[in-house]
Amino acid sequence: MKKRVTLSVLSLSAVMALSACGNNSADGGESGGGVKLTMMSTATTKADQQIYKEIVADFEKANPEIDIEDTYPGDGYEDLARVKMAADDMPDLFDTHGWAKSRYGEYTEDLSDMDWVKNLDEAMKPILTDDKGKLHAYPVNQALDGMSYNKTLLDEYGIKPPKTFDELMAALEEVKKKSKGEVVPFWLGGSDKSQFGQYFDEFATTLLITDKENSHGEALLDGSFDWSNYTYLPEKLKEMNDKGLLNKDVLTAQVTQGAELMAQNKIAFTMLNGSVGREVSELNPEVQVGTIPVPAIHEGDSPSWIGGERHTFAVSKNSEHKEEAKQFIEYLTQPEVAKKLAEGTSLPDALTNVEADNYFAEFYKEYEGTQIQPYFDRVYLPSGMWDPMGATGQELIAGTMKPDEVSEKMEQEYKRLRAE
Amino acid sequence: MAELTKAPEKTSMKTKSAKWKRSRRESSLWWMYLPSVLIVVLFIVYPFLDGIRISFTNWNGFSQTYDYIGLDQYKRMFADPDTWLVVKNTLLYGIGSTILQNIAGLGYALLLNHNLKVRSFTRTIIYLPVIISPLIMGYIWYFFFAFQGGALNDIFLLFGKEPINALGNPAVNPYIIVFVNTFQFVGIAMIIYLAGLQSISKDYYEAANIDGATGWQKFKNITIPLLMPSITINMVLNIIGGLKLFDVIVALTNGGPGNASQSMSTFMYNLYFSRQDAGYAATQGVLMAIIILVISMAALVYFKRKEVEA
Repeated sequence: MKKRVTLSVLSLSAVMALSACGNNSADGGESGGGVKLTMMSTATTKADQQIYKEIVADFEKANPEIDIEDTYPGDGYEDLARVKMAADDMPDLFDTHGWAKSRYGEYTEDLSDMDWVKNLDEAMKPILTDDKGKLHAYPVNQALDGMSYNKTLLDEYGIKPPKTFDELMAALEEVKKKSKGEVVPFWLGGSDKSQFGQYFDEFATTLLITDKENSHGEALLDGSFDWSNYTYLPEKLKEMNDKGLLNKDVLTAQVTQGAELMAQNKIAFTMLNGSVGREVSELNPEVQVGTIPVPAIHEGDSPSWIGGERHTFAVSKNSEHKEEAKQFIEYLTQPEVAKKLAEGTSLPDALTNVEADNYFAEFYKEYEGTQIQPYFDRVYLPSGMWDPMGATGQELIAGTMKPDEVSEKMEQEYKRLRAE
Repeated sequence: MAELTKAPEKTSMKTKSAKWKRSRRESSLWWMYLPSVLIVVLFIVYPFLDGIRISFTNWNGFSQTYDYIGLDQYKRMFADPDTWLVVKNTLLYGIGSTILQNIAGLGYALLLNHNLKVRSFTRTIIYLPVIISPLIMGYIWYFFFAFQGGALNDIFLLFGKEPINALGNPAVNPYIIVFVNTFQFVGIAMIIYLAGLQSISKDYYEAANIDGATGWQKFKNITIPLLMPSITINMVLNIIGGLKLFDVIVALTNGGPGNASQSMSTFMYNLYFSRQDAGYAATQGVLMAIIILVISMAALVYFKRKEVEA
C-alpha cells in the first residue's frame, strides 16, 4: 500500500515537472497528418483581424494539408514577441511591424529568393533589406501616415486642411471657435502612451529631417545630436493643451474611443491612421474622414507622409516548416489576395503588380508626389525609444515635466539605448 | 526471575519496532511534499534566483546575448528619482489599502456579528467583489471615473456641475487605486474577522457586563486582544497584496500619467516590456522583494507578539 502511494506520488511529481517544461516544438507541429503553422499578427482592430482571418481560412481551404493557428495579441503583441524572442521560440510566421532589421533581424529567415521580390515596391526594399542583402519580411501593406481629420466638419467650418504647423495651429483654434468648444480640435487617446509617441515621431521628421537647413539626420545617427533641437515639439504640445485645443481627458482617453467620437462629430483632428476611416464610416456613413501628410514646420519645407512597414510577415529562422510558411507568404502575394488585404486594412499595397483601392485613395491621389519619409524612431533612434517618447508626452501634459525636461529625458534614454 | 528478565527485551523490541514503523511512516509522508516542493522550486525559487542573476546584466529582454555589468544597475536604481516615486506609491497602495481594508472589514464584521435576517445576504454582497478578476474590477471602476461618459461625471453633469478628470490627476488617482483595491478585497477581511469574533466566548462579555464595562472598554480589552490572530492574518495578507498591486493600476491608469501612479510591479513590467531594460527591471524586482519581505515579516512579528491566549 505504502509502495503504491509512494509510486503514485513520484509519478504525479514527474508528470507535473514534465508539464511545466512545456513543449519545445512550439514553432508548429504535425496535425492529423498535415502541418500546423503558428502565426502572430499585430492587427489590432476588429476590421483588420477579420480580413486576416478570412485570408487564412481561404488559404487553408486551398491547402488542406496546412493548418494555421493565427493569433492577434493586439496591444500585447510586442510584449509577447519579446518573451518569445528571449526564449528563442518565435512562431513560424510573425509581424515585424517596422522593426524587421533592427529588432527582429536575428530571428528572421532570408526571403530574398522568393518570386514576389521582383514586384516589391522600391520604397520598401531598403526598409526590409539589410546591408548583406537579406530580405527580412514580406510587407502586407505599407504605412502612409499623417494626420486624420473629420472632413465633414472641416468642410462645414470652411477650414482647409493645413500644410504647415502654423496652419495646423490656426485650424485648431478655428475649430474651437466655430464649434464653441463642442468639438475637440485635436484628440489623443493618451491613456495609451503610443498616441503621444505618434505625435512626436511624425512631427520629429518635419522638425529634424526633411528641411535641408535644419536636418539633423547624421547627428542622430552618429550620436552627436543636440537634443535641445527637439524641444519645439513638447513646447507646441503644451501650448495646445494650455489653449484648450486638446481633449480634456487626453491623459485617460482610450484609443478605442477615437473612431466613435469622430463618428459623432466630436473631434476634428487625430493621430489615428489606417482603418479609422472605414471604422468611422461604418458607425456613421455621413461622416467622411480625410488624411493629410504631416505638416511642414520650417519655412519653405513641404509636408511628408510617414511610410514604411505596417503589417508584415517574416518566417522564423528556427521554424520547422519554413517551406509551408513561405507557401503562405506566396499565397498572400497573389494580386487578388494582396489587393484584398490592402483594401481591407485601408492602406496601400507594397507590390507593383497590385492595384488596390482603399478608403483614403482619393487623398493619396490628391497628395501624389508628396515625399515619403520612414518613421523617425525606426531610422534615427535606437530600438526602445518609442516608450520614453510617449511617456514624456504624458508627463508633460500632466505637468510633471517641462518641455526642456522632455528633451533631457529623451537624450538620457537615447544615450542608454545606444550604448546597449 | 527468568521471565522478569525476558520482559524488558520484549518491551525494548516492541519500542524499537514501533519507532521503526513511525519513522517509515514519516519518511513516506515526506514524499507527499514532493509535488509542492517541485512546483515552488520551478515557479518561485528558480525564477527568483535567475532574476537576481539578470539584475547584474544589461540584458534588453529579448536578445540572445548580454554582458555582466556588476553593480551598475543597483547604482542606477538608487540614483533614479523614478525609483523613489514608485516605492512611495507602492507603500501607499500597501499600507493605505491595509488600513482601510481592516477598518472597513472589522466594521462590517462587527455589524454582521448579530442574528440579523439579512446577515447572509449582506455578507455575500460584500464578499462578491473578491471573486471578480482585479483587472475586470479596475475596468468597472474606470468606466465609473472616466472623464468622457463615466458615471460620476454623468451625475455631475446632471446637477449642472463641470466634469472632473480624476484618473488623469496625479494628485488624486493613487487614492482612487487604493479605494478600488480596498473595495475589492474588504470582503476577505470581513470574513476572517467574522470567524474570529464568533470564536470569542460570550462569557467574557457577560463578565464585563457584570463589572459595568462600557462598549468601548469591552471592545478594547476583550475583542481586540482576542481577535489578534485574525488581525495578524489580515494585516499580513493585505500588506503583501497591496504591495504587489498590478492589475487594478493597469486597468485604471496604466501607471500614468507618465509614472505618477506606477507601483514597483507596474514599473518593472514597463521597464522590461516597453523600455527594453530587463536588467534594470530585475534590479527593481530585487528591491521590491526585499521591501515586501521586510515589511511583511515586521508586521507578522509585531502582531504575533500582541496575541493573547484565551
